[in-house]
Amino acid sequence: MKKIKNTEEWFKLDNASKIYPSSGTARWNAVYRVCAVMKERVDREVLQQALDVVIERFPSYNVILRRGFFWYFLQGATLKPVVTREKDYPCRKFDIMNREPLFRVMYSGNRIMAEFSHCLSDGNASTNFLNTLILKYLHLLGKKVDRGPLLHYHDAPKEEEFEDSYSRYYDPKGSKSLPENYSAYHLQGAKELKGVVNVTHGEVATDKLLELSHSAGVTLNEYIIGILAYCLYNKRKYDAVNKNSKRPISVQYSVDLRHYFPSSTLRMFSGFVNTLLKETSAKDMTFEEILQAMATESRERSKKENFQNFINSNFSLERNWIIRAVPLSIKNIIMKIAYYNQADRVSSLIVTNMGKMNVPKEFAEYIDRYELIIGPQKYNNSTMTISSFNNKTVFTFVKTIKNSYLEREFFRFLQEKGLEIFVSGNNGGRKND
Amino acid sequence: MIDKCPRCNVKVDSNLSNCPLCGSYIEREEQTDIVKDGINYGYPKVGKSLVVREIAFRVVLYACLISIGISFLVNFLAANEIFWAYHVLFGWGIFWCTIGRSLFFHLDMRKQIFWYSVFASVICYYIQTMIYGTFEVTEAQNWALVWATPAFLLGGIAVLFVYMLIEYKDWVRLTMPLTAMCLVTAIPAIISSAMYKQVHFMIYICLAVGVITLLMLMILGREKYFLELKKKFFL
Repeated sequence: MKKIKNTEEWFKLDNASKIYPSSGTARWNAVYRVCAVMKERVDREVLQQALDVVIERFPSYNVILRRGFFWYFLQGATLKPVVTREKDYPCRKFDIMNREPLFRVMYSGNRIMAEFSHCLSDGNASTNFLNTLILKYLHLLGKKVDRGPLLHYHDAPKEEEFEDSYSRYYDPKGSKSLPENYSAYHLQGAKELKGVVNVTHGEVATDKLLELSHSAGVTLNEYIIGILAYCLYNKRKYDAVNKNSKRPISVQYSVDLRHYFPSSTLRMFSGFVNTLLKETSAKDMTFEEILQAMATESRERSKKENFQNFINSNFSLERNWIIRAVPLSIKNIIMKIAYYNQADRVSSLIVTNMGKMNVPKEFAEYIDRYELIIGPQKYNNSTMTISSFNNKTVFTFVKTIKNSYLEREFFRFLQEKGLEIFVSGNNGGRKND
Repeated sequence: MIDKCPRCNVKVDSNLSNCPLCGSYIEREEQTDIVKDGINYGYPKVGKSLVVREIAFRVVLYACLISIGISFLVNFLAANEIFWAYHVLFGWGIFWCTIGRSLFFHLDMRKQIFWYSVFASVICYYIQTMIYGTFEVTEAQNWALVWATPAFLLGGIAVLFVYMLIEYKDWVRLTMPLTAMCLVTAIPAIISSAMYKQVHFMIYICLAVGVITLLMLMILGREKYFLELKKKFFL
């Protein structure tokens, strides 16, 4: 097993992660949270013991980000991670300048949560970490839980878990994807103070939701995207006429590339699909029309060759000698523009679907639900995530504006379809006194 | 007991006093338990430090922008040209690069030492230029170049060295600020030799201390030092 303490190990950031530290600012960097709501209160001491063991299994996570002359790089942290009690808004930025490790494990009441920087990993891989941590935690509590499909904490880390899978699947002779050249409609509203994050969770029954989507002849993902596009379409209709209200609606969702390109990396290996709502007629579109338009667009764009082109175009940039030789300070400016153009500008909303959790069946006895929180984006005001476990699907809306239009309309829509909804959240951090 | 929002008709977590969707106040008939099925979905109450810091940052930023704007305006209206307003602009610039950075962005100690030394030197040049109206003064009057700059840089190197001794386990972290400090010391040496065809002995001392310190680090811990360089400059 690899020893973490006093390590001098260092490695390059993977291809897709390179943009995150560069596009970050002194107050923002891409952070997300995976969280499990346990049925019993969390014991901090036991969780710390579990983390001490599990971090040895995931040595690529206990790292700090450092700045080189040409690129950022990751270096093993000298200190072991400590479990802390949650006392801040979710997805607080990592203090990269003072060498804070790029992940943190926290607890609060019934929640066990791990926050990661996107420089390290993606949702799928970090969920593996969280589940292994919970597995060890439950074992320490004396619960009998089978490991099932999880990575076991006693296994040695494998070399392929450290690989940059983008480089493995890069085809230098393959075609490349073209950059998007439009600006999408964005939700507007009174902004919260910087650092304040509003989180709203809505819990619905998965089976009923699946019934709804199947009766509409689309997948669950397409159905959700359809509802979101419909809500945004209605909002835009009543917005004051300005430049923003004339822009098209686009919902971007992330895709785990491991489904298309086999890989067992625990680092970042995800892509995204921009589903642009094609408004064919001048008349108001109905929900069914929007749903079909979004589903068709989504299917067209989520083909394997599109992701191959995405990998090719991204990796060819990294291999370009001119780009490599440019000092980091100048690269940062270029990356900031690229991030704005390719991520926030072209999407009205960013959606991440964690899908159904692949965990041992015994977990259902101890875990109530999973939550995923994508931190606020740099320019986009809202993000939404979906996680399903034990017949509970949790939709999480994260926003940095005070306006709750999107989640309100989204849940009202589902409620009109007969679904029962349970909402919770941080209420902007303003808890009843 | 979980109450429903009267407007949205959704069940609302009993930790919340208002519906997160519409903001309606949830009237609870009785003191409800904060858990549903024994599970607490609530979030912890967030401390005010973040908000206070954000407000402080904004106040300082707005004060900076307003004072710069007003000084340029008053200067222009009073004299029909702009001259002293540049000093206000420069003063704020220096503030953000030194105190502002460490106050709001929590810079690492070694980085703070480096930046304080560099900007203290810059201020000396600036004040001297203001006093004499030009940078081209005789060597005897050129106190910024001859005394102040080397003194600040030498002081910076000394403080970094002390810091290194105190936290010697992590000394490799100081190699890059020391390398940078050594390079920065070379700048007044170049200016001095270009303008006066000689380098003052204080700058020689400063440069020598920097180079000796660097050489010591390179010899005593060459493996770590060159690994650090390799990491920094990988393509």
